[in-house]
Amino acid sequence: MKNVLLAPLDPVHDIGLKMIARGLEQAGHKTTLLPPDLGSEEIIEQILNSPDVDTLLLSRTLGYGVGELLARFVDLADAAGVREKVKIGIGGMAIRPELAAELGFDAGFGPGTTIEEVVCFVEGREYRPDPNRTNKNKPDLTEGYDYTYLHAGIAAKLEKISSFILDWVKDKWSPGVERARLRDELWDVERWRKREGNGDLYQHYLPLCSELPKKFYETGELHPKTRRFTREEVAGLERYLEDTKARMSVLKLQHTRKKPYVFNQYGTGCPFMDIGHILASEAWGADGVVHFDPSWGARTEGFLDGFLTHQEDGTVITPANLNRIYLGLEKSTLWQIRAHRGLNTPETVVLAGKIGADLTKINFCYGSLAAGTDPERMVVDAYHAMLYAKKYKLPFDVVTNEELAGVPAYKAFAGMLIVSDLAVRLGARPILQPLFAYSPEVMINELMEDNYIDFNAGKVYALRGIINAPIWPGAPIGFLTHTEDRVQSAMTTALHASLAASLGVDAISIASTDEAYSGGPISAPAKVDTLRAVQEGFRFLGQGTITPTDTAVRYAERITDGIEKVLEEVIKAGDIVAALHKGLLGSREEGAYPGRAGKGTVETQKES
Amino acid sequence: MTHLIDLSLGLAGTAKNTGKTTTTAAIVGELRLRGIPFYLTSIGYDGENLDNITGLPKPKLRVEPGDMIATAEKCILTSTAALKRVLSTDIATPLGKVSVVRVERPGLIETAGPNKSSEVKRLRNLLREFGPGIAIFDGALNRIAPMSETDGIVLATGAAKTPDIPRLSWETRLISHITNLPVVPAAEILRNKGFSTVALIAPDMSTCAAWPRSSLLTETDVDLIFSREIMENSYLYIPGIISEQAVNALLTHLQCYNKRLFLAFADPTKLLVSGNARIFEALSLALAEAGVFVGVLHSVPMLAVTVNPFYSEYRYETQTYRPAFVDAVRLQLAVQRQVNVPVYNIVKQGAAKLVDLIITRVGRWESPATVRF
Repeated sequence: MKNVLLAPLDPVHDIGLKMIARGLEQAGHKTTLLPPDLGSEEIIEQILNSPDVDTLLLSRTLGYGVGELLARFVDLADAAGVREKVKIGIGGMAIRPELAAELGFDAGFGPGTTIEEVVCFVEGREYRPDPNRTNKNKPDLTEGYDYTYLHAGIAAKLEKISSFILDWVKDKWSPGVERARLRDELWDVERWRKREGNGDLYQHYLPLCSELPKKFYETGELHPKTRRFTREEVAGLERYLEDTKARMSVLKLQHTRKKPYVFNQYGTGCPFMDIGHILASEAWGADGVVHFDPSWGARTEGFLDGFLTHQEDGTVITPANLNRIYLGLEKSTLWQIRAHRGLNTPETVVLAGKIGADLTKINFCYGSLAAGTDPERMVVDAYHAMLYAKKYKLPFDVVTNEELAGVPAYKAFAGMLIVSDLAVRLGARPILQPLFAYSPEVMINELMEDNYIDFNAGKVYALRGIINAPIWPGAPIGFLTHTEDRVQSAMTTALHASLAASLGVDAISIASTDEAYSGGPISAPAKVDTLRAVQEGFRFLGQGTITPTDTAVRYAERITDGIEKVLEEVIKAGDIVAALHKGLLGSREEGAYPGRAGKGTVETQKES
Repeated sequence: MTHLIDLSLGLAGTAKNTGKTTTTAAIVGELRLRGIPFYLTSIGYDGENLDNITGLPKPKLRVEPGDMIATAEKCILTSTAALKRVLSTDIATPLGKVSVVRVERPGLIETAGPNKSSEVKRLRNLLREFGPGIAIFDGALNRIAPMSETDGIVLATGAAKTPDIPRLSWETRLISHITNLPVVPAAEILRNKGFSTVALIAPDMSTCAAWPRSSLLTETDVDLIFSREIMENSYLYIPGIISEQAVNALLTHLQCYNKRLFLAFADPTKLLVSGNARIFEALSLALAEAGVFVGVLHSVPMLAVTVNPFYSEYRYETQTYRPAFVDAVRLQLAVQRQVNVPVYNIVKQGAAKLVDLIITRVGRWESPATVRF
């Protein structure tokens, strides 16, 4: 048992000390709490009068000049000879260990100090923080889901649709599919990492590429907005990583719930800056990060190579860029590389799998209706991408961001379920990604006139009533509720995150507070804004819940009915590509335009 | 000149931002130039990029190959210099244990050394065992107590303490007065007796009385002492500190006492920490009139004063601090008029003269293993 004297060096503040005194007593120590507003000499006198005291805990709210006051206190204690037998700790809002050391205290306790930390100091034990707070493990977001259907009607329709898609797609191929096959079969990532080259991959690869990559491999000419990193920049990155990793620790945002896991996106164009952003995200608690590539990458047949920086947002996918980013990641961080929208979809999945990503993103409906890729090409490429996702054990989300163009949720969901059903039949692990957003559909139909809860909750209710599958709202949550006001933006993200937690979903994607209005690359402080806000949201909610109104159930019913009708129409069309062109999964009037990139590139394999 | 020298030098500041680190850097630069070996450490922690309290930048110490630094583990990890550990100690600080390192490639470093007097003494002895040189203890904030273990101090003061120049020079005079207190005649005998609590010693050096505490903090403490008969030429020895209340009570008793008495403190820092130098000056003047001889057992002389015209001015409208300066020449002259040691503005004058002065104080280094016959 230790004898601890606690003294506030403030006129009134002693609440923190009272809490600590209670904690110390519970740990079996004797405590004496002195009243506030005693002078330094009076506190020293108390110590001299109590020869059994072995620890003194002081508290003070720091302001200008107080540093000197506290140093003087330590001086008095030293000169009076009490420091040899009494340990002195100081706590207060502005105290950090470095400041305590500068002032000459044996320990400093700042904001966020746990009672256990103080008990350890009093008992002379080394404080080991709760490993759950800092040692994070990578979760499998699909664990515990068996993809069984709870809605027999929708299940039956999806089976029919998958069946005709499979029948149609099975002998189709495209340059994208062929490049993925070459990357899968001819590219040995371990040899490449050992700088032993790419084998004869590029001999076969080149004819399958469009002009930009061809020029690059033939003449070394890069995309006009990209350049290679210099040797000094690479050395700088390595130094930066070494320095930062030495001090790095990760944070857990979740409070008493395990889920949802929190993802944010990076993609400044510069992989060096991305690595900095990822480290900031990890340090402030992100569980996963999402690679965002430039839009021209999706319209280009083939990848470039080398460690490249891009002067606009979107970080170019090259093996070297991905590998550098991979090497910078913390072990616990889930890494998603999006493959969903362009002419490199299957090869992106292969590359992601070989380099070490944990997740990818595939949706041929979104890719062809809202991202500019020809529907036929997109379906063929997505089919092969799913097979590779299975091979490389990469679960993928099925994004529904076509809603942002104006496609109603039930149509986007019908598309998401078609993709997911097909994926499950191929042995892959899809994750449903409804949008938590103030979407055009919501605005036009005034679905969120009263609150932002019911329609988002209705979406989750609808999906839960259809299939037992993981749900990962995105992307990002609260989209179109954000403004350029960072406080507002962080707040609305935190509220949507709390709703997601209350609904028990598996993961969420959040934006930075400047994402919608940055006019350029997003900034690290703006990422920290939303991570901190979400952490506070989770802390606020705990095991509590947000109760939607009855309207949420009505919305869910409406969405489910809508999905069933859309699926019925797709079956009538008898052809997924035709259904996409006809607007059954999102029409031109709704802002969905079937893309043209890669048109005419699908070929039917000849019988061998 | 021979460099078999031995000195431990304290850099004490009267407040944050009075230029301790600048003075240290200048002294170190000058010693390096002259090839004089030194060990650099600090009392507590210093050298942060940003001032912890005001948020304004502070100089970080640049070190060069061959420099010897004693600092805590975390500072070694974050230093940009290449360092070779030459001695590990078990002196603990909140930033890890103190090690002595030799700089192999230049860079910036933060120093965090021991913050208790007893540990400053231990480190000093370890460094002395290691080899000759000047051990420089850069004081953190206004920490003064651990300076008792040094051979002398350079006081860094300036507008950061108060931008009121007359007040600052007057306060410096009070500090100078205390650090110049003479060593009492029977100092060696008293040191050998090793009193750790307040004691009354008869003129024949026998102990009349000893109280259980090291310090005089209340009127009652003082009344207890004077409740007994005190012989003329006795010593009242206070190893710890004395409070303002006790000073006033002592004055009341001694003014009626009217006999010669030696009032002995362990060292000047015990009086400086109380922060009531003004009252102590009044006491010592009144005591001198009453025939009381005030002195110390260990002298910690003030060798020089450095002045810094910088201060952080608080802006109420933005609740931030901004850099401001008082008139540097006026400040230096005003302080110089009040003290009988040299006063330097290091930024303007450099450290050559200060180092000349420091060198006059060094002793000859001998290995602690030296055997005398």
